Amino acid sequence: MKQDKNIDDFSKYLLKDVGLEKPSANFVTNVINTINFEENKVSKVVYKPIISKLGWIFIATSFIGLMIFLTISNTESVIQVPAIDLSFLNKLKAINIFENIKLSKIFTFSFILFSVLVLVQLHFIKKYFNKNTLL
Amino acid sequence: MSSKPDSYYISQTLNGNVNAFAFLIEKYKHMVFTLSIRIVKNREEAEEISQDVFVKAYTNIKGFKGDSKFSTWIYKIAYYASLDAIKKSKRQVNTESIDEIYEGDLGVLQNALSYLEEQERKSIIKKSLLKLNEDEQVILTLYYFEEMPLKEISEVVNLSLDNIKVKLFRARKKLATILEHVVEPKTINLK
Repeated sequence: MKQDKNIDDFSKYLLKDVGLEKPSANFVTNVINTINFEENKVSKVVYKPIISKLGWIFIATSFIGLMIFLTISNTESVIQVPAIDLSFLNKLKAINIFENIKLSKIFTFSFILFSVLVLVQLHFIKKYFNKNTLL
Repeated sequence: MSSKPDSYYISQTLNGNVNAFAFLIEKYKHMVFTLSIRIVKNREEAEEISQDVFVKAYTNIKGFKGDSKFSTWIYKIAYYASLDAIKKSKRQVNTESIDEIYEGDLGVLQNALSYLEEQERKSIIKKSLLKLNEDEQVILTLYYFEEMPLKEISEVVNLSLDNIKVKLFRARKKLATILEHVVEPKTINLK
C-alpha cells in the first residue's frame, strides 16, 4: 500500500517535471488561417435552387388555377379526349422475342439469391467507406 | 486572458467570432500537442495533427452539446486523430512490453534522477514515457499532469473506469521499471 502511494507521488513528480510540449510559435495563426481559408472555400459555393421562389409561386398559382377551373367548369366539354385505337398493341405481342426462352426454377432462384447477396454486400461496402472517410 | 469560462468562448465562436476560438486554441494547444506527440512520437507530424484537431473542432463545434467539458471533447478528438495517423502510416510504434512488476526502491531512483542535469533528466523521462503504449501515456499525462478525474479520462479514451484504473496502475509501474533500466547504469558510470 505504501509502495502504491510512493509510486503515485513519484509518477506525479515525473509527469510534472517533464511538463508539456510546446508547439511552434505560429501555431494559433496557422490554425486560424486554415479555418479562414476553409470558411471562404465553403462560402464561395452558394447553392441556388433550380426553381426560384418566383417560379414556385407561378407553378402553384397556375396549378391551383387549373384545379379551380376544372372543378367549376364542365369537364366533359373542356377536355375532349379523342378515342385512340389501341388494337395495334395486340400485334406487338406477335414479336415477343422472349417467348422461346425458358428459365429453370433453379436458375431463377439462384439469380434472385445472387441479387439479394449483391444488395446486402452493397450495404456493408457503403458502411465501410463511410467509416473510412469520416475519420 | 482566460478569466471567462470555456462556454463563453464557445458561444462566441458559434456566433461566428473566430477570434474567440483563438482563445480556446491558445488554452488547449499545449495539451493537445503533448498528447499527439506522445502518440505519434514525431514533432512535425504532431504539429500537423494538432492543427487539424482544432480545425476539426471548429467545424464541428455545433455538435458540441456541452454534456462533457470542452477539454474532454478536444482531447478525445486529439487522441483519435493521433491514433488514426499511426494506423494510416501503418507504423509500428515500438513500445516495450514489460511484465515484471517494479519492486525496486523508489527513493534510490528518485535520488538518482535528481543528480542528473535538468535537461538530461527531462529527456530521460520523455524517452521513457515514449516507450509506453499510446493509451498508457495519455492516461498518465491526463491523470498526473492535467489532474483530470478518472471519469473524464475514461470518456477521452473510451474505456471503462475499472479498465482505466488497471491501466494506470500498470503504466506507472512500467514507467518506473523503464526509468530504472535507463537511469541506474548512468549513475553508476558517474561514480
